[in-house]
Amino acid sequence: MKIAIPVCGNRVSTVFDAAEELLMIENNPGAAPVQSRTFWREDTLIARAARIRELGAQVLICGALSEVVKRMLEAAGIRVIPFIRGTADEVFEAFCKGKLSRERFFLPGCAPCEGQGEHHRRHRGHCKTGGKGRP
Amino acid sequence: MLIKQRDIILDSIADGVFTVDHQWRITSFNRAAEKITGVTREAAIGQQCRDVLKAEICEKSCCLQKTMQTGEPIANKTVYIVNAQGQRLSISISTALLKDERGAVIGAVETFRDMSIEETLRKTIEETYSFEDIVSKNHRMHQLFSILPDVANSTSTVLIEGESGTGKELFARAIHQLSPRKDKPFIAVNCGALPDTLLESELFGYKAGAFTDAKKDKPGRFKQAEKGTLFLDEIGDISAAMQVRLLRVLQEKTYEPLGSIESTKADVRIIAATNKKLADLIKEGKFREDLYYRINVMRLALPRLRERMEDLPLLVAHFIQHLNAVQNKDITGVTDEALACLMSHDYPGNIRELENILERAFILCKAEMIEPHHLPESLCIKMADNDGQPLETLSMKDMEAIFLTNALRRNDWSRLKTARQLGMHKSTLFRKIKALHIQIPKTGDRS
Repeated sequence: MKIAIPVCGNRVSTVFDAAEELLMIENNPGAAPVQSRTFWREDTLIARAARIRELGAQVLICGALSEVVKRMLEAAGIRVIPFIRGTADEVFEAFCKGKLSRERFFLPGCAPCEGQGEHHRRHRGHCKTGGKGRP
Repeated sequence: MLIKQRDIILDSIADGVFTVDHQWRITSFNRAAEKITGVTREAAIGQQCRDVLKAEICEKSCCLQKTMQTGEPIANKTVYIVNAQGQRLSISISTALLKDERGAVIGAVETFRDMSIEETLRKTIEETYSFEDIVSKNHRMHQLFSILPDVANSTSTVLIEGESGTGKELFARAIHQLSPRKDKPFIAVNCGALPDTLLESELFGYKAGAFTDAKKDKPGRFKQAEKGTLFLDEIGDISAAMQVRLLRVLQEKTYEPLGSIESTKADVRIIAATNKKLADLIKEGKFREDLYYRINVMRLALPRLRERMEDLPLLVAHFIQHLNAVQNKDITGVTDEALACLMSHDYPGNIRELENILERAFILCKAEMIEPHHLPESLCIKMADNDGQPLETLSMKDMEAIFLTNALRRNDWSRLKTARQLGMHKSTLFRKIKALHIQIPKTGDRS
């Protein structure tokens, strides 16, 4: 599974559009997660969304994201978890453990999406959060 | 007491106001700030201001940080934020230092104004629409959105097909805005509105002396759109002779203005649109096959409004916001009954028809909400026909039954198609059909 996290430094970028880099984490069962960072040159929202699709991300975990882009990514089959805050490390770990729906990971006033906690738990076990490859 | 008075004063103003301490933690947050950001005061207090405001500048060029560093206030800087509902809003922000009675800096204050109305008016005047102005949660529309960047980045000709009023020009403008040509002109020509001779001079221009009254050179639309995009609407309506001329421009990238003996090079990206099936016109011998293949490099087929009725509430909200801005009104929405009337209509005129219906309602509506009697009679009659009951006496359950029956009828009674169109799971629809005792005719697609 490929997870995309737009970041500013080591934090999830507060606004999707303003992120300078895109952290990609390839996370396969039984293997250590492999991460890579790319500078985000695309300046328009739609071009950024297209880049995430091209990179083969199946999940996008990001900060504030406009609804229209969220729907567009979802239409392309990408699971979107917006309005997340925290460091990339703790967010990825929480995602793997099915704990991303905890309130502290959400930007103030931005409630978790419907059914999110349940969906996270389904992915538990696919992650190996220890080892060198961990972001 | 003083703090209470200060809060009352801050809550009474229309601009959002918040203050931060040296650690960028929010220490006060007024009512307008709650409204604009969608974050309550309780949720905002004590949080990092960037997590609450969610502005594009928060991480790279924070205005509060600049003010804290330099001591200089910043006035009326326009930025955008993403509010808690996922809407992108344009706001104008100003910042200043906060000092105590001894003059020591204790933090900073930021005031911000919602500029959505001004932004709507600017877009209306300048016609600078982006893909974000295409309102939809329909799956087919989002599939189109997802290929737009690729379409925009290519130099190929695009053919947009769709019934009148489906938003072909809006799509064309969105492609232009996303393309490397976005800073060059976007020129739209309705080919169906002009007779052949006029269209020729309109597109290619003419030289002085080309015909009587041609006193000086006039550049055509191709010239005006140089290095930009030329949108040719109703391409299916052009004559055979014009088709030949257009084919030549597309093939050779050159054209001759009327009366000119020299060819002019054209660096123009063509987006063509039609409300007709060009393939059918080819069979009838009314459209050249070679031109069709030239313009049909990339084809986008826009769905009819009745195929994306799940978008109707979004579109209604969008047009109400737009009309409020343009007409300086403050209508907050439509009642459930009026929405049910709107949902029961088939919209042969598509989104343009919906816009016209709401514009009419804006003229008639003197209250906050648009009600059924502000809508054209034909819409409400069709709805009331279902059981002959006046609208006022219908319950929400009745309304839902009418709405679902109309949706099923529109989809030839196919439950699968209806569920897809309404964006609900088929088993939810099956359950509702049973609970509301909706009778499905024996004929038709019963899938």
